[in-house]
Amino acid sequence: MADAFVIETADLRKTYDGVEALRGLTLAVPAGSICGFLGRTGAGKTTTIKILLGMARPTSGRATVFGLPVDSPAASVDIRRRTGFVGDDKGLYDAMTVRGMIRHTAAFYPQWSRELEEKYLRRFELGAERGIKTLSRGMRTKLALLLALCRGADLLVLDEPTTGLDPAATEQVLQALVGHAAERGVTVFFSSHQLADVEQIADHVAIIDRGRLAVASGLDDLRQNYRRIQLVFDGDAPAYTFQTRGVERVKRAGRVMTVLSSAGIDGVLGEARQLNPVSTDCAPVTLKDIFLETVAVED
Amino acid sequence: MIWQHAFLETRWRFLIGLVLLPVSAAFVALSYPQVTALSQSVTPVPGTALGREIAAAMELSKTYDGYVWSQWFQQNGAQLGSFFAAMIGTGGLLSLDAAARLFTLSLPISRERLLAARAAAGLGQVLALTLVPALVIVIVSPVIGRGFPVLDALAYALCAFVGCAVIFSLAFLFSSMFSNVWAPVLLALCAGAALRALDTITGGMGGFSLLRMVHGESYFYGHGLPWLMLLISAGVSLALLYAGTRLIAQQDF
Amino acid sequence: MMFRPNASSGVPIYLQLMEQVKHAIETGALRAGDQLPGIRPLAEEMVINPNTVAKAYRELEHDGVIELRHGAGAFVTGAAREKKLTDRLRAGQTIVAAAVDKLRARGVTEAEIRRLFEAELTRLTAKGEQRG
Repeated sequence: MADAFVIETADLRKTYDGVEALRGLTLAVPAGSICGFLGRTGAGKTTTIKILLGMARPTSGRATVFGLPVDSPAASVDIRRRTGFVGDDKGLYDAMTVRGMIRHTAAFYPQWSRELEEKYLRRFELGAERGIKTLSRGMRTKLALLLALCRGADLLVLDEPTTGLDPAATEQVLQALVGHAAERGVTVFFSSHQLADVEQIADHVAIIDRGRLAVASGLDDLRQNYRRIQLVFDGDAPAYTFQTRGVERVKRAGRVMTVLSSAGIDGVLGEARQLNPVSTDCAPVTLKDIFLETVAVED
Repeated sequence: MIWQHAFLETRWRFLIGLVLLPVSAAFVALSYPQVTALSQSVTPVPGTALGREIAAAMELSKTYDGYVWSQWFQQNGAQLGSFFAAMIGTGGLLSLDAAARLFTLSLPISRERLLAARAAAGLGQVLALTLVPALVIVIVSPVIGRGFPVLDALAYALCAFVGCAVIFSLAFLFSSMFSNVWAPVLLALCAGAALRALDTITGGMGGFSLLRMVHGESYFYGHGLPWLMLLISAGVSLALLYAGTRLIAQQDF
Repeated sequence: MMFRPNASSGVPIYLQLMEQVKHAIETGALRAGDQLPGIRPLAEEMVINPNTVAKAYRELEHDGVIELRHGAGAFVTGAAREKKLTDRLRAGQTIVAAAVDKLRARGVTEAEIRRLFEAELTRLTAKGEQRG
């Protein structure tokens, strides 16, 4: 009965004051996955999240969460009821205590679990009586995460959850996400600049570049399909256009040609051998490399 | 919980008003003996505008009812009430800090409901700020050996409430247009001042003066409550609140 | 089962996990009949995606290394495979020791040796020749 995709967008566009933030984004996040949403600052990540949560309306195109249209105010309320959101600004009231903030939030969600509340208070070592303004950045993030986790949501949307956190706090946040996902089968959709964190827990990755989707793939598929091939030649590397589909970039510097391919490695290697290189080196590519290559293309 | 959230933003402004207004009202009431004593020894200069005003005030102050009405309901109460009404009406989503805005917008509640709650909570606060001081006068009057009829207090409070509600609604609407938290206050009070100027110029606008309605003037002069004006004002308030709600409903954040 | 997968190595985490389980069996850390940690606790302990753990377990079951008993958990299968693997591994260790000695004799540094092995293995993986 459940849809295959929790979040779906189709040619989503958004213009703010003449600036095109989204230029036809088509995205699908599989249910039960942990999906990392990557992109340069200003590429459209926060805009996308705001639209999904009903905080901004699309200029054109469609987007659905749980199969419900995001631009219908009534449906949007339902979406937010089933979604736990941790924004860039954690959404905490400085004047309240930890417990006060929790109780204030809990009142809006009938599915709130007090059991989870106690569990995470302990795990995150959050003093219930502490004032929120005395909390460190890591503690604030953990509190915001607690507020999102305890409400019985089917989807967690997080905007840069581990940015600015020390490694210990990062690990706690990632561990909570992973544990929660395992226990409840929730879908996690999080934008991040911390590629290492994404590589660690995500099984899907979507890269947005200048308002459009540049890469969308299972993370393991990326790992198994992307390759960097380094060819060293006797003389200068020849200017050659690869026929095999899946060749993303070719760089030539002196005697070295570097090819980045996202698929069809056999074909690429075959073509490469015909160029008679002195050496052929085939190496896997990290997510960071894929990201940099994908979004750094000059116009 | 939605009420708790709605009251959250303006609670300090409201509480300050809730202390300030009743205390001021009590002060006005309790000063009557001194004022009476003072006016024995004062003779206003005839022929000057100020002299005329002082003469009018002294005339009204010859009775306790007149004194209370002119000093509180016509002046101090109305001014303080308007100010606090504007202060309570401003704020809202546009002026909230990012964290509070984010929290509010991600709640599973439609914007209409959020704003309706904010409007209702604000109106409730304005009601308290107009009603409590009036009742305080009733309670405090016996201390100086006077009595102020409860019914009169309620009548004046009603007029003040409806009038202040218009100021509140103006500030509410402006708060849906500006992210600065002070602009709506200024604009709403300027609108109030403009109405006062209009009133002075047109000499009362033939009974349709908002100002006189707020002051409960027709009641004071024995003509009963100005029902038509009250209804029109209430309608205007609701229209302003609705407009403010629609603006926020369309807003992109 | 306490190891940290290298998320940035380009090798899928589920494969790394599978290797770890096989290695544990071959060295005797895990024996036939031993129960593997549950998917959720393992995912949480290693801070990796539970789907990844599930995939590794499925593949291990497919390879006959473990069996998933419905409702009970994942258990290491029979002993026969174990001994064969242990023997293979011992032979492998001898070969690798010899190769490393030779390379070092030629002045190849440890880092370079590691890189050579990885490059060769990756090349093979890329060509689909390797069967894990």
